[in-house]
Amino acid sequence: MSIMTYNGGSIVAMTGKNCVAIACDKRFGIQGTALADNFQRIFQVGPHMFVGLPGLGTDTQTVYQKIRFRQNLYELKENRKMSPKVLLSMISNMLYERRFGPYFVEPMVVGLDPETAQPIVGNMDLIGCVNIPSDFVVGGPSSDQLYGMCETLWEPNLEPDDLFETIAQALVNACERNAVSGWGAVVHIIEQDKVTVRHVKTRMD
Amino acid sequence: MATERYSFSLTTFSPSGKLVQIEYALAAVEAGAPSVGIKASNGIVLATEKKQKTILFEDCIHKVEPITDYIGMVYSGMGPDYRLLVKKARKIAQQYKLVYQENIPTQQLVQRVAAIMQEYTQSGGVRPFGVSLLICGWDQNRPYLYQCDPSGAYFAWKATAMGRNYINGKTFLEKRYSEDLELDDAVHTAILTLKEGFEGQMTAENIEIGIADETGFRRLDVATVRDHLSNIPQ
Amino acid sequence: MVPEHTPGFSFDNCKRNAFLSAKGYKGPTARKTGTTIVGAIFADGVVLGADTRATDDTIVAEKNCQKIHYMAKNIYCCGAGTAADTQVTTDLIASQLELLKLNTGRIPRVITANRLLRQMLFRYQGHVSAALVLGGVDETGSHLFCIYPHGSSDTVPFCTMGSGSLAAMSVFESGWKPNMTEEECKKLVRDAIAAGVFNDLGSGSNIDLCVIKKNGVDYLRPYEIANVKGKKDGDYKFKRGTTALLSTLKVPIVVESEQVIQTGEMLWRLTDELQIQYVHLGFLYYNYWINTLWWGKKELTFLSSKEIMLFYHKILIDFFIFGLKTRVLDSQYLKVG
Repeated sequence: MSIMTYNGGSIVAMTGKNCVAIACDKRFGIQGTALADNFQRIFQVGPHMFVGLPGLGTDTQTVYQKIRFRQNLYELKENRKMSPKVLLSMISNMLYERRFGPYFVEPMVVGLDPETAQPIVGNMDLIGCVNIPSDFVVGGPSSDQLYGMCETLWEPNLEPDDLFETIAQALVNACERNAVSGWGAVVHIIEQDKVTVRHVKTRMD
Repeated sequence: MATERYSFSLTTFSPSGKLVQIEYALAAVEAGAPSVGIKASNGIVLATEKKQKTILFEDCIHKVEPITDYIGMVYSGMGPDYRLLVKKARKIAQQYKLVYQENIPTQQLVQRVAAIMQEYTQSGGVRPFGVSLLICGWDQNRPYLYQCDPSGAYFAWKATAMGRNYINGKTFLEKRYSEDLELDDAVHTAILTLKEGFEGQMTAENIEIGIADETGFRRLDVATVRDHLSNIPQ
Repeated sequence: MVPEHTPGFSFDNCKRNAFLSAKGYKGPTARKTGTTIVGAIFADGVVLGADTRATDDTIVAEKNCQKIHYMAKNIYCCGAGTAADTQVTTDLIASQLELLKLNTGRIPRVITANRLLRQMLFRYQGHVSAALVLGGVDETGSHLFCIYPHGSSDTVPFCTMGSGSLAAMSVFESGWKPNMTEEECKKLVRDAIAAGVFNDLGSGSNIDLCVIKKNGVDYLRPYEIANVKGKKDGDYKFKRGTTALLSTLKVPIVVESEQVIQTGEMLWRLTDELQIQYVHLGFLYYNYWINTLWWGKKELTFLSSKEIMLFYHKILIDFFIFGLKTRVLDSQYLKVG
């Protein structure tokens, strides 16, 4: 078993029309044993910005704290909000420092650019190779399934409500074929005027 | 450095609460060649006097230096100290870019250079820098102009003068400055400010000018400076 | 002050990671570029070419990644190998070249870039796995180098690297000749990359070119979209309301007041809105916990409308108290997020 499947937890993020979405399942387990159905892997780091940290549970939490530490310093020093692209570079820099002894997380960032409101999704591998595609990013143990779901379902310029159905169905159905994912899911839809958080039903086995 | 006998800070308080070393450093600045910085509506100009004592000097060492494509720097005071700070400033800018993949905002650069200058007032075995810096930059679509002192204090200016005769320079600028100055007028004003108390004939060879605008920072070549000078009544 | 940049690598996690892998828990693999990258010299300069696929084992991790990296205004560098390594190595040397340019007042030479890259790669004894094709034009002419992960390099008129290098080299070996025109060379490089894209599974998607000449650079990205995704004839969109929901929470981002204070040089924007968002945010997380507690106690069934009303009444009261608390603990706002 690989470390990425040790605790479970998959994340997917997509762009829409003037909006972005990020969703993850809520299972936390130790290999086959499920321990909790409320594990947090998506964190809000700005009015319109979220990070998702799929991977080993302990590293998810450590890396999140390190990100907050450096982001807070940046925002205090420069007296401005961090943009998603800068956050991606910063996390990438942080992870590459541990090139030869990495944290087992593959972070992703979603958000609307603070100045242009342009939707951005991006992710990186565990040593910080950044990827900013125009469509979607996936991570975690069911990423193979998610790739398939997203390639089929995603289309450009989805309205927030359609984006929700698309991302939720992609995640719920990917979890159907992944033993270590599931146990409820949460979907965040980020628009300029609001963030909508929906808890979605998934299988509980 | 910082070993044995001189590992204490040389900048220590006098009984009256002054750091005289810093005051001496400021005296070194005031004795240095004058420099001027002026912010215009569409850019910033830095200008400085660069008089050579003999005609035997080769003219290839510059006082106005680029730090990044869009930030420039000039000084009054001691040249060697300045060149060290230029090198450090460039490195700071590059390091910032490596971390954030974004150009360093001028204000951040100034803050960090000032932090280094402060460190040299409190560390063992070192003396404060004998320079005041003028740092200008164009970012986020607007001009910035800052001054950094040996103490590590920094100020934002619309226009300022440093070095020899700086009080007269500032008084002159107070009279001539207006908010809606264009860059060319600002160059003009900067030259006139340098002319206050300039000994001898001002030529394109014995002053140096740098400008920053939306296209970035650049040092003006001698021919361009000569053009500017020719527009000024002798 | 906490430095943004601590020089060198950190080996803190190595022991733990070695322990985990000894126990049989394999770490995830880093993203590779797979890659076909090539370079060729023509009469007035250099053409560099690359595909745009990044892979994670057999998964295509990125369809349109940029493999031709900026080094200096007159120098570019293609990278193959571990994607993060090629990105960071080229960025790092680009930064050193920029410093060199500023400190010397000269345009950096391609041999300088070559030497810096080799020294860096040799220092890490092949552990930084970047295989590079470096090309550029300087006052001494056009130059092309290929640099191997251990720090050796070749000076050549044409070269290929990456998993598709054999396919690409076959095109070069049969087609390259000295003093080609720009168009001839672009065509040849395109063909070489296409050979990699269609014959090597580690390479794919588009073809990027970078033409470096004495008077400037043409960065053509994409030069050719070699693989277009098929169009869906059907519509797979789900009807709104398809997904079964447990709860919905809308957190509006409301600007309740905005104040702009001008202080000297800087425009400080007092974002009251921000603080309010953090209150909302606190509410969000708070609600999240209540929600899970609530569901932890109950079977997974849908709530009746009465229960939902009760639930929201409770939350509203809690929120009111919470709001009071956060307002009192003014300094806590940032921590709540």
